[in-house]
Amino acid sequence: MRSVSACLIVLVVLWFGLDNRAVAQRTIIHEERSQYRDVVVTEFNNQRCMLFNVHRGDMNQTCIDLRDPKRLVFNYTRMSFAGLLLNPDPQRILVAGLGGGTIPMVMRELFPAARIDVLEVDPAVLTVAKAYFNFVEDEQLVNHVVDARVFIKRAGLRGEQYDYIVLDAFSGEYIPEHMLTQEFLQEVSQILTPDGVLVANTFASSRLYDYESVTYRAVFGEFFNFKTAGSGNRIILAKKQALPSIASLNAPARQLFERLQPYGINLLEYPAQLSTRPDWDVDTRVLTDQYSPANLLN
Amino acid sequence: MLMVWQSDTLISPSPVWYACASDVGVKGGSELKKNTIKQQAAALHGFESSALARRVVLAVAFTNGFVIMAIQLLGGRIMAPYFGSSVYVWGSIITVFMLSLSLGYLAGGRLSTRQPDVRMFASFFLASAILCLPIIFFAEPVMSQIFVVVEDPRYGSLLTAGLLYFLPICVMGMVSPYSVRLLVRSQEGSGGVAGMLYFVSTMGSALGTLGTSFYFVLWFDLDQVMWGCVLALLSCGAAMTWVNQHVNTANRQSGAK
Repeated sequence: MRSVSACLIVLVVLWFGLDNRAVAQRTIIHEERSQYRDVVVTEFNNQRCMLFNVHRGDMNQTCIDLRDPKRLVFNYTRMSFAGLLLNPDPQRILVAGLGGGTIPMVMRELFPAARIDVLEVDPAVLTVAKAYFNFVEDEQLVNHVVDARVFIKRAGLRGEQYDYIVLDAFSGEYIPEHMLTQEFLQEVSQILTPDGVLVANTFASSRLYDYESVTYRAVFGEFFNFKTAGSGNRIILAKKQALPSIASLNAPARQLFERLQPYGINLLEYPAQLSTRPDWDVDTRVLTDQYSPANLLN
Repeated sequence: MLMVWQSDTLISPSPVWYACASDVGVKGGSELKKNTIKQQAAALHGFESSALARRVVLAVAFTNGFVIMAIQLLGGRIMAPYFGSSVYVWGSIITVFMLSLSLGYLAGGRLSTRQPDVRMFASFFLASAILCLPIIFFAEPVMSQIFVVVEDPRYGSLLTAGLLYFLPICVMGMVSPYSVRLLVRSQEGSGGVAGMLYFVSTMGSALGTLGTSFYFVLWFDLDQVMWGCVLALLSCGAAMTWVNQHVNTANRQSGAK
């Protein structure tokens, strides 16, 4: 009996000990209540991060380096700027998925004349991005609290066009399945200018890789597949027009290299890592509005 | 009248069902009320006393619950391309379903009080199956119209859900109280009957939710699952029609003896 209670005490001490250690590693500095999932801001090791579903151990949504706020912490965020190789001077930019607002803020700095629309369905994310991640709206950069599919469909009806579209609404635990389908990508294609570029952050692992690949292929034809070692993400670079040769991308890479360097983006490395070769199962079924069980395939 | 009572002892219901809905202890009840129920039950020609009929009613109540939740889950996916998958789209769908069911319960209950008729019960399934067809054929044009007219996705989704789902789900709601009426044999047993019917229909709803969200959307197109729901409802109507004729024939034969 005594040994049982001793064991229990040891367990309790271990439990709280481990718990304390976790807290010491990662300080929660803010929790924002949300209609969707609570948004948590943590700080650790001079990095401030935005997390969803913190209790289930979800990964960081977005992080900033407090010592060097310009430097982009995540590889996939840096990779998304590979779109500039295909359109080095965007004028009308659409970013679906706000996160901490990193991508739109960098675009705002790089292209002061460009008009940028950001789409974020969760107002709590917008609040946190403004309060903790230096996201600032102005007359050139506007966030719309709306479901990206709804906004894009409406923009298509109004005949609006963008020459640089970033789809980054897919991080986190739940995937918005209506934004992986052929019909959605057709709507995106409709608001893309003929020389515009679509940059999509997608899943590199899991069965979804095959499904997303064939769906993008069905809508845009050949696209650049951009993967780097050690990243769980894959960036798709698509155009409505035929793709330029990879060799021709070195010129814009050199041209933009210095402007992107402060953000930790080495654009010169990117062209060689692009590929148009399908490394997925080409017989996979295309995702449609009728068939998009993305969360079951992940 | 006597025949109804005697047939109680003739049926051999499944143990679970019988424990819940048996008329044990009915003799302690008020004679007057008991007679009223018996007189009304006579309009059903002994339907409620047939073990087979009872099982079929339970099966269709289960299927009805299953189909309601399957259609609700599909609704979220059907509407997402136009209104997103925000919380308020689900809010619209659930609101419309609850409203439709509540009015269906009311209407079904009212209809059951006078001259309860198994054929009418069967026609509920035919009607709801037909009313589901616009969801398959007209959801796209309806949503694209509403998308243009109503800017706010909250009201757009509410209006769409109302137009597409109100009528079929309302009729499906009528099934529940009416099925209670078909099976109740005594006032004392009515709670047991209602409890058993709630049990099977809500169990059906649970499985309909699980099956649709975990498997059907992975195996089939949305429209294919909708067609499955329509077929299931039609089968329910057919099963009720068949069992009604079966019971009537059996009654005629025993009456002839």
